[in-house]
Order: sequence, then structure tokens, then C-alpha cells
Amino acid sequence: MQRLILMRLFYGVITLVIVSMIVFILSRLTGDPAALMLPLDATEEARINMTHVLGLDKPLYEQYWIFLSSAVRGDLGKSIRFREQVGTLYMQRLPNTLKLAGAAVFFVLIVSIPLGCFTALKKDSFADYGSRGFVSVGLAMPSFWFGLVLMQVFAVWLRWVDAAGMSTPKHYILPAVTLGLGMAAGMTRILRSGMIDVLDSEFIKMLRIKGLPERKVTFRHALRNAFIPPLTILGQYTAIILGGAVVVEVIFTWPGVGRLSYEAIMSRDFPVIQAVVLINGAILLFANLLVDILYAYIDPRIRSSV
Amino acid sequence: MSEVVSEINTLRSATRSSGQIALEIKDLKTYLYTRWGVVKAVDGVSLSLRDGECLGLVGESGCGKTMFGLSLMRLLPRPAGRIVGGEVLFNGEDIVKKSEAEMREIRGRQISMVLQDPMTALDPIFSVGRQLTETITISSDLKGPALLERAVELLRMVRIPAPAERLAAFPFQMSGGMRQRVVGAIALAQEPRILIADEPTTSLDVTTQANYLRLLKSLQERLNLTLIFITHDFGIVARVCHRVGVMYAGKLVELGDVEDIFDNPRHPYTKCLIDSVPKLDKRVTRLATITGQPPTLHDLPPGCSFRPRCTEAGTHCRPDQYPDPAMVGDRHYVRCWLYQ
Amino acid sequence: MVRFFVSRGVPIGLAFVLAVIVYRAIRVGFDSIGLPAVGWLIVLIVYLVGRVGFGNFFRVVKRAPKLPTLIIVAFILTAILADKITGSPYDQNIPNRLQPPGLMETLKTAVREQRFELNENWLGTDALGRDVLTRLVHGARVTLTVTIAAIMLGQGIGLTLGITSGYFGGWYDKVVMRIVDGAMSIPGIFLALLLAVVLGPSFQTVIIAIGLLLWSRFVRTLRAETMKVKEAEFVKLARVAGCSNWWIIRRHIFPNLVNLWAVLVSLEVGVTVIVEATLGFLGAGVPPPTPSWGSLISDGRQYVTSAWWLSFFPGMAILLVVLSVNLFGDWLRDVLDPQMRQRAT
Repeated sequence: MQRLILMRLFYGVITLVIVSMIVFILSRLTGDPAALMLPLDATEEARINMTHVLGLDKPLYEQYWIFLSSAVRGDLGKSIRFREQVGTLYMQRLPNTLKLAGAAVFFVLIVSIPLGCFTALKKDSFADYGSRGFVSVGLAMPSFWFGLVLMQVFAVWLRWVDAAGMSTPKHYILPAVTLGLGMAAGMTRILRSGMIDVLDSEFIKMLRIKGLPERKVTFRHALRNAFIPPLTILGQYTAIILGGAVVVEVIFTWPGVGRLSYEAIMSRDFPVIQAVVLINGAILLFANLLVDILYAYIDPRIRSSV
Repeated sequence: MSEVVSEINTLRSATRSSGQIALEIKDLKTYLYTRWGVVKAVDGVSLSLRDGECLGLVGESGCGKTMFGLSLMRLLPRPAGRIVGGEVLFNGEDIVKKSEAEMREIRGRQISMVLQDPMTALDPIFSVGRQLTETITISSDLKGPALLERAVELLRMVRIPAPAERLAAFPFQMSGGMRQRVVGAIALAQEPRILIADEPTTSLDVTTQANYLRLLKSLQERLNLTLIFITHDFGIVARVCHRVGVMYAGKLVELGDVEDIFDNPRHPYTKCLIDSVPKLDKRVTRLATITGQPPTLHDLPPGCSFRPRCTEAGTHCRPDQYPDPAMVGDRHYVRCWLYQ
Repeated sequence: MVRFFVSRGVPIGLAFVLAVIVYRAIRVGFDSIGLPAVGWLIVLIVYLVGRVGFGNFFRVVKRAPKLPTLIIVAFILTAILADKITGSPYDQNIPNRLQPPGLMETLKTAVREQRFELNENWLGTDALGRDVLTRLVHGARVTLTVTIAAIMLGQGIGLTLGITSGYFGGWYDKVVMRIVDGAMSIPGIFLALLLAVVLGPSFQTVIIAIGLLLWSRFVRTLRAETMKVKEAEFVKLARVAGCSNWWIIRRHIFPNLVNLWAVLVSLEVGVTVIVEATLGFLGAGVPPPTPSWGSLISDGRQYVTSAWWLSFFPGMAILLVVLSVNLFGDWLRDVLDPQMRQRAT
């Protein structure tokens, strides 16, 4: 177990270094950050001066080394647009994104567990067809459009909720549903196919043979076994939440990390972009590690093999 | 044949055919309603079993043996499988008419079953001990150390070495033979009267097979179990069973005592099956085989379904009707036009 | 059924011609490719029929899900022949701006006044009086072009890296897999958006951005499958017989990956369409005034309270196309690679 964690951490750090390289190169491929920071009528002298202050006159590998070593020390640089430490900027926005992510995950679970597990118990029933339809539509839905439709219907026509703002729990409903729809559909599909596979297996038959009540067959045995495959994509979904949140946060003007990174990209605020990508990568790494541990906790086969 | 006979003599128990009627099956019909049509998996099977008796049910794969076993448990694949006719009398009550809740009282406690594949018959994420204690507590109030003691006792009963240590093991840590023993312990944990064993040794290797059969036989005698042993191997039937039923295409074509069937098989299909078992006392260059494929069980024509493959078919076989059972000896019947 | 992809010559030729057509569409303009594209489709169908036999082809086609197939065919034909079935998407008519969907108006007059009067703009007009349906039909071109080009790019990189890293292994494989991990740990939309901004808004940018988002997904699956095929007896035999690596990859590995590859491609089409639309919506897609479904929705966004039809219909178009493509892909997966049912989830 410890070896597994150490291995994953090691690979994760390498991955992070590669990610930082990709973003660093991308950010240096375009434009001149110095030009972006100066007013349009700045003199050539001021530009050279600024280039020197930012260290942009050094060779590329040296710039990367400076960036990486200060990043390791926790200094991710200053935002060009806000003239503020990127770390502080990120930390201001992170709670909003986490709250939204929490609401979205809650939505995903309350939708996908009933739809995925209990319709699998009644295969080919009316409810089962309903859940399969939900999966197909949910996976095909462009989230930015779905968000707009939800806003139009529930905020403009029905006036049940407000389209923007985040002061009351009601404000969370639309963004969370928008963000969670695709994931809920994917999760439902995986849970359903996992559940059907498990329910078909011999050991479920054996449990029924020994006269175990159906409730225990379903909850104690079938559900626990069917939950193993979805766990592995939980890490994947973390990436979707952090990435898909860009779209949802832009539509609902949600002041989270997604909108921060969208604005950073649009205004070429590269220190912020680099920082967001790095921190997202670290979060993803951590989430995957957590999934691995959880996985080993549920499945004894994994626990003893590592 | 002498080797087989000596096996019979050593293993045959003394309790045979003296007990009460344990199970009486009358004209049981189980159909599967599939996309491709109705499959008559069990089509009018009648037989009765006494306490402590062991019935071998023999037939090729796909002849309905397994569906017969699952019908008795009322655990047919849903929603395709359905019992469409007949009665299964157990303790004077018809199992077919019982509700699902009543059936749960019977499953495990009265009638139990061992499945074919031990590799998949145990929940992979629960320890052996947990699965055993779970089974015990279904029908008893044992708790704490007494419960564990009972689980250890069950493992000891199926001759698992170091049973106390084994409780913490997970199924994937055990060999196929050991797992099948655990499955046996779980099936017998609630002391059922009837045990249906559905090809329990097919997926085990030969030595393990022999050990398991010996275990099953001794348990049957000790617990006075009524055993229905489903297999395709006549050699195993000879070692373990008192009576043999031969199934073909959902129908029981011959039923009788083991000696009768072995010494004097009547149905052409039974003869073929017995001939295809290798024997030590006869020098043969080629084993007998049955030509053709077993029929698919939907859209069977009327008349004897073995006819296309039968070596003794002739004008006596009526094409429009299935032969009725004909008694050819004491407790020995056969369904074939030769004996009508 | 897909053995035909393996045969030499024709498939490579078809792929090459398709690339040329796509290039011409982007560089010269869409109106110039109508005839070649139709010709290409006919050659493809004739080739497929010839390859698997007339009877087989129609037996398979008959089993395909009807409605999704119909929608996909309609989508492709609309995109190719957009200029033939509708007018120009740039024709403005300011006095006629923000007209509600004509079909609805027609229905209203028919019900209220028992008078049938076919309204001109079936799906309404936008803020500059341009016909929504016309822009929608022309938007299909962008979607189709970007999808084909991005998938050709993404699967090309993915196939090459996937097979070679799976086949050769060693440090090369390790390096490739680390890069794939890195690329996958950046959220897809984020990466595409970043690339689109870095490279500047253009058709090529969108294609490259989406292609670079797709490649890593192909690498993972194809690498795993290559490693499995590599262990098969026939590959070992080929090696014993002294076949070169290139020969083994071409004649033994690739033919065994073709089904999986086809399934992966079909499953990524939906993703591509959505990402393209999302980029368009976020303002990093094909630059205006070329209509794309994503930018149509984004344009309609500011009129969402007064003119819902502006963003509603493009969204429905995306939903329908992606839904059809996904359902078709599911069917293809069941036909080509039944085991994949587990692998994909």
C-alpha cells in the first residue's frame, strides 16, 4: 500500500513537471508579456526595462528554471492583469469552485445512484428505458447551451430562481445541475452496466440460494461490487469538474477558478494560467491517489496485491 | 464394469430407499421465454425422492438439467424463466405456488444448492468468514464467539485445513477446490434436507474432483441429506448415486436404480451415454460417440426428440406424439417407442 | 466488416482525397467543394459495397439504428450542399430583424384565423435580420469540417504513438506515457481554449486545438491493445520468421486494432462536436462572420429574454447530431467489438 502511494506520487510529480513545461512553452510561444503589461504608448526603453525586470531577456531554459524553482517554494508569480500574487488570487476563488463542485457531486450522486442501480434491478422496465434515455441525452448535451436553457426556463419564465449570484442555496441549483448533468449521465451508465454484470454473476445466485433477503443481496453485496468501477472514473470527473467549470462559471458568472482561468486565457495573463494548470494538476493527482486508496479499501484483491 | 461396480459397493449407503418421501415432482414444466421463441427447458418431468436418497441427473449440456435444479429453488433467470405447469410437493406443500417470502424460508434452510463454478460463486470482496457467518445468521440468533465457532465447525466439516485461520481469507486467496468446499459449507450452513449439486466438480481437476465427491458422499450419509446430483458424467453417477435419471431435451427419458440402468439400459440414448464412458475391462480402439448435435430446445417438433440421432429409430416411432413412460422393471421407467 | 480498411491503396487514397477536400474547404471556401465531396461519398459507398458484398452491406445497414443514421446522413448532406439549399448566411435585412420563427407564426395563424400562410423565415431572424435557418445550415459546414479534420489529426497522432509505444516499449514508451498523463491532467476545454488563444483565432487553430485534445485519449487505448496483440502467438511467429518490425506492425498489429480504432473514432465524434461548439461559444472558435453553431448560441445569448429562438435552435442541432452520433457509435461498438462494452465504460 505504501509502495503504491509512493509510486503514484513519484509519477504524479513527473507528470506535473511535464504539465508545467507544456504550459510554459505555450505561454512563451505567443506575444510578449512585457508588451501586455505596459500602456500602448510606452517607449522602447520602458519595454526593454520591463523585459529585464521580468527576466524575459534570459534564455528560455533559465526562465523555466526560475519559474519552476519559485513555484516549488510556493511563489507562483504575479498576475499581469490584477498585479496581485497568483496564489492569493487563486485562493480567493477556490472556495467558490469547491462549493459548486460539492453541489454538483451531490446532484450526480442523488441522480445516478437511483437511476443506475435501481433501474438495473428491473431491466427493460419503463423506468429502465427512462434511465437509458436520460443517459443518452445527458451525454450528448452541450453544457453551455443546457445552462442557457435552464436559465431561460427557470429564471426568466418561471422566476423560481435567480440567474446569477451565489448568496442563497437556491443559486446553486442551476449551475450544479448544468455542471452535473453530463457526469450524472456517465455515472448512471457505468453504475447500470456494473450492476447488471454483478446481478448476473454466480455469487448473487448463491446468495439467493442461501435465502438471504433481497434487500441485503442488493445493498450489501451487489451495490458494493458495482461501485468499484465507477470509483476509478471519479478521478476523471475531478478533471471534468475543474475543466467543465470553466463553461458553467462563465455562463452563470460564478466567481470561481474556472472563470479566473477563462479570463486569464482571454487576457493572456500567463502567470495565472500557469498557476491554475499546475494547481489543477496537483488536485487531480491528489484525487486519483485518494481514489486508489478508496479502491484498495473496498476491494481486498487490490489491497493484497500491492 | 467391475471397477465401477466395486465403487458402487463401497460407496453405496445403507440408508437407501427406506425413508419418507422427501420431494415429489409431478409433471414439472419450466419454459424460457426468449427473443427467439419459447424454450421448453423442463418439459413434463415427474419423479419422487426419499430422505437420504441420492439421485443422479445425467444429460448433455443444454438439456435442461440446470433449469430443473433452479426450478426447485424457484430461482429461474428473470424475466425469461417461468414455471408453467406441474407441482413440486415438499412437506406436502406445493413449492410452485409459494410466495417469494415463503420461498426465502425454504431456500438454504430446507433446499440448498451448490453451483458449478466455484471461482465466481463467492462474493469477491467479503472474507470467507463474513460470508459464512452471514449465512448462519439468516436462520439462527448465534452471536459473537458462538457464531465464529459455528463457522469454524462448518469449515472443519468440509475438511478445510486450519479452519480458524481461513475465516479471514478472501476467496481470491484460495484454490478452486477449497472455494468449492467453502461453497459447500455455505450451502449446508442452515442444515437443509435437500441439496442440489449442479455439476460441482466439472471445473475442478481430477484429484480434487475425487476428493470432493468423497466429501459430498460422506456428508450425505452423515447428515442424511437428500441429494440431487446434476452431472454429465456417468462415471460420477455410478460412484455417488442410488438412482439415475437421464434427461434429453427437457424430458426425463429414463429413470431407475443405478444397477438397473448400468446393467440393463433401455433407452437408446442411455445406452449411448454409458458406451461413451471409458472402461478398464474392455479393450476398445475408439470410444463410442453420439452422432449429431443436441437439439436446440425451442420449436421442437412433436414426437421423440432423440429420433434424428437415434440408432434404433424405425417405423415403430410415431412422429406425431412423444412416447409415454413405460415401466420396464421395478422402479425403472423409460420413454421410448421400443417399449410401448 | 471493417476488414476493408486494411486493404492497401483505396482506403489510403480515400483518406488523402478527404484531407485535400477539407483543406480546400478551409482555404478556398465551402462553396467549391460540393461536387467533390458528393463524389467522394459515392466512391466510399461503392467501395464499401464492393468490399463486403452487396447483400452483406445492406444487411448491416438495415440493422443500423434508423433515426440516428437518418439524422447523420441529413447532417452530412446539409453541410455539403448548404449553398444549394439555402441562400447566403450573410444577407442582412435590418428592417426584418429579430423575427420569431416563421413556422410557429404559420401555425398560430392557422389555428387562430383558420388561414394558412407560409412565413418566410422558418426559424426566425437574428439581430441583423439574417435568417437563422440559413445560418444554422451553413454552421453545419464548420462543425463537419472541424470534426473530420480534428479527428484525422488526433487519431493520426494517437495511432502512431499508441502503436509504437505499445510495440516498442522501453524508455520511449515511458516518455510517451508521461506526456500523455500530462496532457490528460489539463482539462480538455482549458487546453483547447489556451491553444486557440495562443495560436490566434482561425479555422486551423480550432482544428489543431481539438486534435491536440483528442490524441491522448487514442494513445492510451490503442497502446493497451497493441501490448495485448503483441503477445499473441502469430506475432511471435512472425518475429521468429524474421519479419521486420514495420512489416509486423503493418500486417499483424494494425489489422487487429482496426475495429477498436473505428469504434474509438466514432465515440470521439460527439466529443469533438461539443468541444468545437464550446470553443465557438467562448469566443475562441472559427472567427466571425462565419457562422458556427457555438457562436450562433453565443450571439443569441444577449437576446435570450427577447428572442429565445436565436440560441435554442443551434443548441437543438448540436444535441441531435451528438445524440445520433453517440447512438450510432454504440451500435457500431456492439457490431465491431462486443468486449469494448466493458472497456469503454
